[in-house]
Amino acid sequence: MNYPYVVRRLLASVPTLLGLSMILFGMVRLLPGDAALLKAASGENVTLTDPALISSLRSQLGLNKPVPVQYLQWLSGLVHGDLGRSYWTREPATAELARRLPITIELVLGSVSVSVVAGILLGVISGVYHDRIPDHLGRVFSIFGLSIPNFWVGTLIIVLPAIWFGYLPPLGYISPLKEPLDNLRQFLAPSLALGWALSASTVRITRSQMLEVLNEDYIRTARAKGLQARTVIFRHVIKNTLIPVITVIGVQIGFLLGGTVAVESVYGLPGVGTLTITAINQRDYPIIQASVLFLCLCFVLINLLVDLAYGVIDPRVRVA
Amino acid sequence: MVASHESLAIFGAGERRDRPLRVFVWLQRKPVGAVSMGIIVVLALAAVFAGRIAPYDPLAQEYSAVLEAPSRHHVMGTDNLGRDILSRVIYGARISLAVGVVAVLIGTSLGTTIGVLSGFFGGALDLIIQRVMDAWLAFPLIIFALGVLAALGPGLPQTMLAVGVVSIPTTSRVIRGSVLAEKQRVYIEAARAIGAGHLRIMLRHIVPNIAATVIVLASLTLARAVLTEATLSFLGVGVPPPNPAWGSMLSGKARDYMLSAPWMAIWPGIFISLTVLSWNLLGDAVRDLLDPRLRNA
Repeated sequence: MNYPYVVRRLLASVPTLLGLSMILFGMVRLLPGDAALLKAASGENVTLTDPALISSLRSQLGLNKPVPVQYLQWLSGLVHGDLGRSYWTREPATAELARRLPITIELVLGSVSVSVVAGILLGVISGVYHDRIPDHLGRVFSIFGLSIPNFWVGTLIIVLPAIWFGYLPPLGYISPLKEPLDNLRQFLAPSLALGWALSASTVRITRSQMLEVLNEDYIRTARAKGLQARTVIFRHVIKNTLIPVITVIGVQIGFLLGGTVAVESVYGLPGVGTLTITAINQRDYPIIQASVLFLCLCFVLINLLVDLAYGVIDPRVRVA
Repeated sequence: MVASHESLAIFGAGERRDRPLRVFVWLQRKPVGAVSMGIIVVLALAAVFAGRIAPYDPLAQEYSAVLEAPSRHHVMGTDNLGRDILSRVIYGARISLAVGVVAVLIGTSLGTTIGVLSGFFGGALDLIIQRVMDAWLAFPLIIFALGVLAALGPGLPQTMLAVGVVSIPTTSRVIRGSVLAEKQRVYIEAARAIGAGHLRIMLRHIVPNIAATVIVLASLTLARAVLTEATLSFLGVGVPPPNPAWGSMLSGKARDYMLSAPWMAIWPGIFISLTVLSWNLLGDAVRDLLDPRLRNA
């Protein structure tokens, strides 16, 4: 394990994240209206025209300080692990994030599992029977997965069994600690909805890798030795096929992190996606900053992990 | 072997009356692509002539005809406000295709420009641009679009801008790759040798040769744009109600009435899928036709 490389990569990502945080900070404050205004408007006595109330709310939230000062305050808090408090609930942002994160993570894991299982299976089949019926069917499956909106698939998975079998899955989150079986049942449908689109790229990359590997000399040697096709596939082909597939899956996880919003909305799962969209609507700057920055951080870390994993799995690729 | 009249005819040469229509050539070589193109043309015509084709006003609420199942009068049924779903779907095509086309124009032109500049000049400019693009891609794209729309407010032109901007980093990356590949070619070296300046080489040599990539990318980006627009209007940002955007037709009330009036949730989804599918298939077909080498890209 090339520690200097890892450290260098981690250090290189710091300015990227710093830059992102600055842009994020600025962009978020470009949104018209602010939390103070919205809060004042939603109070019991709707005194929109009371500037005193609004400005007192503003100074409470620290919104009246100049933007660079706000940024530096936020940054110093960040270094101490304090991501600020929600303007609306006054709860620490880290607590909100921590509460929502397991749900999104479970959704991401579920979707990636679907993508891996379905994608690799179909990809191998497509590769082995390439240009024949199974391959074409696999291609159709993939392209439909890429074209059909995931929130619609999610809706259909709820609607159709309800119409046909009268079966309705529980909507609204059930913790795995309370009812593990219900939790799994609940996450199956959204994972399928999200996983279908992901499996499309997994199938494609598995298939093209299969075709490449199948043409290699050592495969021909194995066949010449008299090994059955099945043995050849399982012992030699699959291992060599899976290397770039792993990178693709890693990238998928990275992209998925921000993309769970629609499905979370359909299934009533209070995850990070719905947190962010609510926060944007409420101009809840600390929450927006915390969750978006966290998602970006995950993306950067996952990319780093994928690069490292590539080096570990394939001895031929050693990072300089 | 003498080229016979028939074989020449396939290439469009030969006498006018012997030449079969180009359309049949396309149908023969790439039937899937031709069918997709046909579907897209039909959808585009429906969008343009929505006023003539739609049987009802998409915004007209008729309380006597609420939640009617598909019938002779309302081919796709009505929604909870008595609006005809078929008409709303037809007008929705207008929104989706308009957003798609404008968004792709914005995204592809800007992305291509950035990609060409970055790839062609290389060096520090390339480094900076690529770092910016990498950081941009680290940002969850739907949330970025949400942010843009929150800043600009909901509406059709704002949605076009948001969806267009979101596609810039990917486009620039792909185009930059193509430009880097083209830069190595001998004819570029030759052009330089006879004294062609940067601008001339870029415009006259590089751009026409990456045109195939640009076209394929535009088609696939359009598919993605339609999907993004649907997601945004589903989430309630984007094109606001009562405009019949397909995505917003799938959210809210459609979900509440999912069990009693499933046709509300089914038809818009079918059309979104059909449109996105057609553009994806068209892009794939064009890619296979123009440069089969791009297939695994």
